Amino acid sequence: MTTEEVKKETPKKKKESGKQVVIPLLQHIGITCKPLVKVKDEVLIGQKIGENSDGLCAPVHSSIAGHVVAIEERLHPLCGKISSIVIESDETNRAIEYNPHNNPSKEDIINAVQEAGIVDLTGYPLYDMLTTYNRIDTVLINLTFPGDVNSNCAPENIPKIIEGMKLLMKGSGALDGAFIIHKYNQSLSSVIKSKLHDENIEIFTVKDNYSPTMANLLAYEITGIPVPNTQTPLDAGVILSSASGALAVTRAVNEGIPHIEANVTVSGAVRNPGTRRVNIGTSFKEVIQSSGGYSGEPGKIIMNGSLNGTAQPNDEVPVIKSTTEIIVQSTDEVLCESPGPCIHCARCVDVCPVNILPGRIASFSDMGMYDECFKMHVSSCIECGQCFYVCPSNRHLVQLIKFAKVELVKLLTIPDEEATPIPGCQTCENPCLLGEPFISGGIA
Amino acid sequence: MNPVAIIGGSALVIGGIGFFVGIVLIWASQKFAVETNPLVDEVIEVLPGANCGACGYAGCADFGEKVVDGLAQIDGCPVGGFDTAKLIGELLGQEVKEAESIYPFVRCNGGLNCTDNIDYVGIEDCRAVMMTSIGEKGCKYGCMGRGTCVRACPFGAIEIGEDRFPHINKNLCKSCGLCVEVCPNGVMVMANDSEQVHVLCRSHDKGKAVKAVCEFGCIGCKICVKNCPADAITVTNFLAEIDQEKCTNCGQCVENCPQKSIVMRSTGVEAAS
Repeated sequence: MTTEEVKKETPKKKKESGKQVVIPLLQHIGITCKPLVKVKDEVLIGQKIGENSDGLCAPVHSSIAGHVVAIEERLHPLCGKISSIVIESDETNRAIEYNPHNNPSKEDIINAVQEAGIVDLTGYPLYDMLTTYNRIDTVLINLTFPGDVNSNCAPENIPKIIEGMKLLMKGSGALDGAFIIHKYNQSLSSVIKSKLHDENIEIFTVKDNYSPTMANLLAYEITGIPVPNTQTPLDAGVILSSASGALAVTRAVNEGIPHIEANVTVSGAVRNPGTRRVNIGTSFKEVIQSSGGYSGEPGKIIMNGSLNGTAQPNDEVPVIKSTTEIIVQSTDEVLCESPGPCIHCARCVDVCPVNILPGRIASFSDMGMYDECFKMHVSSCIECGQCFYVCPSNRHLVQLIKFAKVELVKLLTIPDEEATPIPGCQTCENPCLLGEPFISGGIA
Repeated sequence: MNPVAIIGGSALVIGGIGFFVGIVLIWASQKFAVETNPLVDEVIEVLPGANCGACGYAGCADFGEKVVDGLAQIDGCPVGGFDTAKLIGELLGQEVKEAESIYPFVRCNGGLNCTDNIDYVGIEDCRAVMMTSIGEKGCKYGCMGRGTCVRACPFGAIEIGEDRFPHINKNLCKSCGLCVEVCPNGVMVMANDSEQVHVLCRSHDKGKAVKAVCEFGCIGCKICVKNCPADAITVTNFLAEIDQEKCTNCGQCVENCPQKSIVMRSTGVEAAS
């Protein structure tokens, strides 16, 4: 099949429906959903299939019409194997009756966001941001994360994003809103300026790209309120969302459609890279095939950004709500060099956005001196991956820092054996950092 | 100036300072002397001096003090073993019985027989490998072979062989147990030489899942339970466990195990692989 044929068959932006979708019951930070359907049940598009009212949880919905094939543990792009609902399509597009709101009140918005199970890029359920804190001053929408901008900021989506911002401001009671745009992204900023007719919403330009893990830094940059690493921007009265979150809110409130689709940009070693609207639960393999398939032998598949994304074990993993970007690296591009010794060039120190000493901490972690890592503020690390990127010796800095964090969690939780390492996550007993905003790092 | 006067003068000044400081030090060492128990020094003398901390105390000196105070067991030093315990016993006037020597033992038969999930590139540490989302190997219970135990061993007694398993050099091993403590999967265990029969598997997965990834994994078929004349084997969560107190080393389970995951190890021979 030549490239042209592929382009004809799958024109850009055409909605894809896979034959089988795998919908993980945990796509957010919080507790796992309980399945509401049984094997062989018939489900429709938008039907709620998993929910858990015991704690922080975003319900999951079916993204295709068909019947449930299995409820079993399947691969998850972020945390190993998670119990998932496998649905086989019956090639129809029967959907449930959506319940749109024309002139929504605050309660309507919160209910719609909660029912739609909207999850932000950080993995945090959006309804909890609206309800948990009484006083929210500002809603910020981060349009500097390249994966999010490439996928969701097409010109036709801009009015919806602005509408989402207004709904979030109404839902949270915030008076101010701001879009944060990279200073070199003039086209996006001019498009938003032309569509924006609201005095309370401003446009800020910043000179860095901020990934979802850098939420605290961004909130400090814009509002001037310092947010320590033990808190979230919510503690400073700031809701920090993304373009994908705002789009999903608009769709949930104005059209009544739950969070069952994601805009995914496929880039790297594929024949026909570009942005596609994909049903949640579609496997990466199908998404890549619809992008023309691999060009060359695939070496590594990374979700959500090459610097701080997560490398995938294979291409069977499903697209989840927080997926915005799939990067395919060919075997030649994958870094397989073994790390050399630290040459004390301090490039990692210069580049670190939180002003810690990544090289020193990594050395202590390598020697097993985790208490020294703690003294050097290892917990401040936001795992942005920039130190690993600039390191001329290819040291596994981010992984060593992450490793030190996990070992510290183990050390600190030894006295109280009953306590789980991360509150909220009941997926497994293994210590991991999913409880902190996003897991990431230079793990291959 | 006369060179002789310079040399003589400086020798006089420096010699004078040295003499004065010497007198001060002698006075201080007598005035502020800390009284130590001579027995403690003798006990520290016979300890190995590795300061490994395997006894549970801060080091050999700390252990020596605690032994003399009666807070620590005389045979509490796993490194020195029976010889050291005997010497301490002689110093303290107590009798010590010889205990059977125990060595770490790897309860996994995967290694190269186990499938790989991913090509891992990262820091060489089993705990770091376990942090990846699905793990490097098909089986998440087994030996990862990345050498966390090798680096934990203060005596250099462990090395990773070509079969990606840790091999224990019994001549160097001091039975301190640090490797057992550090192993993230609990694959290592301290075993007596008389405990001959072992299940070389830690997998709690169902039989089908085990067979998919490993040739020699325990599938929980309970054939060993039926064949054991001493009722020493129990199967919990698809994994056979042998109660070493009841086991008579008869070898019935070894012969009948369809997966060859139960092995008889002869004294002095490493884990079969």
